[in-house]
Amino acid sequence: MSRPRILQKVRSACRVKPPAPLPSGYPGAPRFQDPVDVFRRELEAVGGVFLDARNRNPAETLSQVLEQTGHTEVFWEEEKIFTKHGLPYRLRLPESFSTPNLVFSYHYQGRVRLPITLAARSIELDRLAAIPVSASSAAFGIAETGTIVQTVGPGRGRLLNVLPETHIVFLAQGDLLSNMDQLLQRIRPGEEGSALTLVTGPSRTADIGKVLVKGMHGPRRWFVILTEDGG
Amino acid sequence: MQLRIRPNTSAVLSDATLQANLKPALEKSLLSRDRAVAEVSNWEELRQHAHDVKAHTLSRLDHYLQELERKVMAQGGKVVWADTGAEALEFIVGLLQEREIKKVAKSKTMLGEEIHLNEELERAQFDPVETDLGEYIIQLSRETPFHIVTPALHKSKEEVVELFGRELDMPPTDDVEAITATARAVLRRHFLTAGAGITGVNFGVAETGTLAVVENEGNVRLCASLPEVHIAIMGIEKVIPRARDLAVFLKLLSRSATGQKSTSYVNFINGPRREGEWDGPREFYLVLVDNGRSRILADPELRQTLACIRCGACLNVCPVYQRIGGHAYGSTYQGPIGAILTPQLTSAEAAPEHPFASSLCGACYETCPVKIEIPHILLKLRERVQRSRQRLARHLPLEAWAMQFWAWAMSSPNRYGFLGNLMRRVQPYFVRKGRMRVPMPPFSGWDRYRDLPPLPEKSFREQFRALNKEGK
Amino acid sequence: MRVSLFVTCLVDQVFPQVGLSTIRILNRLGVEVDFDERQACCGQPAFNSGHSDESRTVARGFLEAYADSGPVVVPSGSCATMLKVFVPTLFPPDSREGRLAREIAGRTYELSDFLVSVLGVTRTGARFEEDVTYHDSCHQLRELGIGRQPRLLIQGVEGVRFLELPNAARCCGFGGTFSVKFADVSAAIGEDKVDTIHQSGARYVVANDVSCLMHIGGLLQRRGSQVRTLHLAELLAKFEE
Repeated sequence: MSRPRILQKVRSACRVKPPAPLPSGYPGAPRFQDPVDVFRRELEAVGGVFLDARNRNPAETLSQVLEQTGHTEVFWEEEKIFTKHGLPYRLRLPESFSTPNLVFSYHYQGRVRLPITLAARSIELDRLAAIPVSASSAAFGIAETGTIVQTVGPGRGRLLNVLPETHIVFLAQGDLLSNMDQLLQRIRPGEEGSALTLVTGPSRTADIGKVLVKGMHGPRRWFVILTEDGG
Repeated sequence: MQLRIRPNTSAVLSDATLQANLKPALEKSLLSRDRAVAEVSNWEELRQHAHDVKAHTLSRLDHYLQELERKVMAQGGKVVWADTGAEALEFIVGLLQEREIKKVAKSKTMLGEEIHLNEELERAQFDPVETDLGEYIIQLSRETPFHIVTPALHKSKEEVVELFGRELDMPPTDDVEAITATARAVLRRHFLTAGAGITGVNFGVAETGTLAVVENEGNVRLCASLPEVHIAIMGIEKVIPRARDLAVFLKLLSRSATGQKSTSYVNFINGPRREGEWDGPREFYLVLVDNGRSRILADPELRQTLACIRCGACLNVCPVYQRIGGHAYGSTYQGPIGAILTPQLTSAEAAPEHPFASSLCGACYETCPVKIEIPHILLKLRERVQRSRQRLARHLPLEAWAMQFWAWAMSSPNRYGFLGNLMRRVQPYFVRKGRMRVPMPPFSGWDRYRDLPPLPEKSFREQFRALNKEGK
Repeated sequence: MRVSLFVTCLVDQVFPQVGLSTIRILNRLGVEVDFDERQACCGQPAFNSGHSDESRTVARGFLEAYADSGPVVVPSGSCATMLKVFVPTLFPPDSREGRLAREIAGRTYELSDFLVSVLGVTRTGARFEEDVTYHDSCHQLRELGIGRQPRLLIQGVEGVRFLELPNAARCCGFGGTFSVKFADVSAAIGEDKVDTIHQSGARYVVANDVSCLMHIGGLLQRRGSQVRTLHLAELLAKFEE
């Protein structure tokens, strides 16, 4: 109904001036010799916790986080985490991950142990909202801002990364970029899934008296575990 | 209805609590913005790029809107065009009724404020819940946003504690973390029971059909993920051509708005959930709202107003906003951008004081990440207000009469010299204790706050003449 | 060299010493100064209030008076802005007046810029043993980009102890007719400026616009402050002939 009317108005409005050219190039953005160092600094500056598992067993690093946060459960929803970041679970129960739903692992006393029981189960929204710790795999990291890129796609949703109070992201070193321009040259938003989120630090607000508080709606504690490529 | 500013200024200037809250809060914003901008070596290049991209997009807006529409539809989204705020509201209300949805989780959207979305939803018996903490505070206290970016900037912690105590039965506390935790718990329940989420849009990318929405709290993520229906409302001027431009705009926006290198979350939304995705809304609607924007677009001098990315930096840096705050403007948009946007979205007659509520210092232009020439636009709008005033008035307004007289005097050296001397003659009647006191406007307004120096015995030109005679 | 002085109406009628100081400085630097008595105002008060017809009428008088003059020197950042930036926009670009306005704008200089950028002078020979601070007037700084020149000149005055003003570039709140239309807001902004002036510890606050100085000075005086205002030209002319 209003579409033709608005377009007509816009079209004639555009004509009052000759069209302005679209800049063909893009301004430069910083590139870093050692993006890991910058990434760590920026991530810590926004209240995230950076853990370097490049020369360690990622499972051991995960244990550390669980111990520190006093949790024994982690919720996952993608196989990628295990294959990409060198976590050994996949060897045990590959079929768990082909089940189209959330995966939950229990870690005795917060220590990651093998073998481990993984349960694929259907989860109601209420239960999902009550999950204390979740983990995911980042598609990319951006050093300039200490940002993690989280995508949605087959077998991955939007909610698990944002609802819990604690979130753990695994990032492979090879996926760490210097700046956002590089990201947008590599990916085309919307191609892989219906949503993509750039996450920089824990959820925060400063709406009361300009005092910074973490964990307004999303994670209060936010860990990034950097892993070696093809671990 | 006429929006006025002057009747509101004396109350806000003498509100000691407000003045005490306002200054440190804005100083903090300014400091972090300046720090964040100083780190970027090519800030000016980024500004120019953004400015040029916006100028281009606006000059071909019909093309880009259609491209955006095509892309959003190809991803399974629906696109609705609304000529006015009322049309947008009509669609939203109709959709909610059809889906039998009662509760709506909302994230902060200035366009929502502009079209009075909450009032309208409440009037139609829906239950809209603001989920941005600042907006939630504003909603509970039944106010309007004080600032484009930080709507509850003027509220002290104590005021929020009192408000939450009254509205949410929160026990008294001094701890901001505890206040925030209360809000988190209350709002989480609302999220889980909301049938629809409504968000704004910062940038709509024509090339990819991506809607970019920035935030820090995570409430936009939830509004766009939890409910079965997601409605994004977007002013038609918010479209940009290419995804790569986002890197530039997002850098400018976050650093200008809050002094952050990036906001905690930047959401790229490409339609509803797809096959195989665990969650996300089943239905996605993009509501494109004109509401006066195409009229602004049609004005070659003022079109650049539409380049605004709503970062709020011009508010923070404005000496007038720093003193009178947001509510004194009486309009949805405040500060320098509000001063130019309000009369354009309504009319010169509807907001006749807005263009004049500025000292024209130019700090807004200097800080604007997309280089909108706000002071020059203010001047253009002042001209229009004066024109419309003279057109509408039965008699020549006093100010216009005074200006005509002034121009008559100033355009002839004889008249100018004569009047200067006349003033010197009558001046002794008005000088008291070394200062001029003329009990009529504009002198009285001046004299109320500051001393006015008396005229010297001889003007410059008289002294110059005397000097020249001596010399010869 | 020979220049034409545009003294501004406010200097002419209220602050003649600023115009006289300007002549003294220029003469001392070997520049001859013309003063055309046909001049009155640049048209700014009407222009800033949205009365463009009246502004045009007055600006026309300026254009006639300076059509054939040499370089035009103006001891005011805001009037120089009017002449350099806004007067050319008052006339159709292709009209005779439009062309003339652009031509004159090209040879119009704000005083400090003329001294530093054209004459290459940072010392006028002035001597003033006082603590001095400087307020950037908005149009001069942001429309003309002149902030370095006045500081160089002040620091070139012998005996001056220059104290940088906190937030020197923040508006004083004058704003032309804004100062009476929103007199309370204008004064409130000015109070912040006065506070920073006191913080600076200076005895004299210098600026290059008598309008800002009239506003700041009026507030200082109302408060009973010991701090005095001084136009840049007055400071730079503090030398013995």
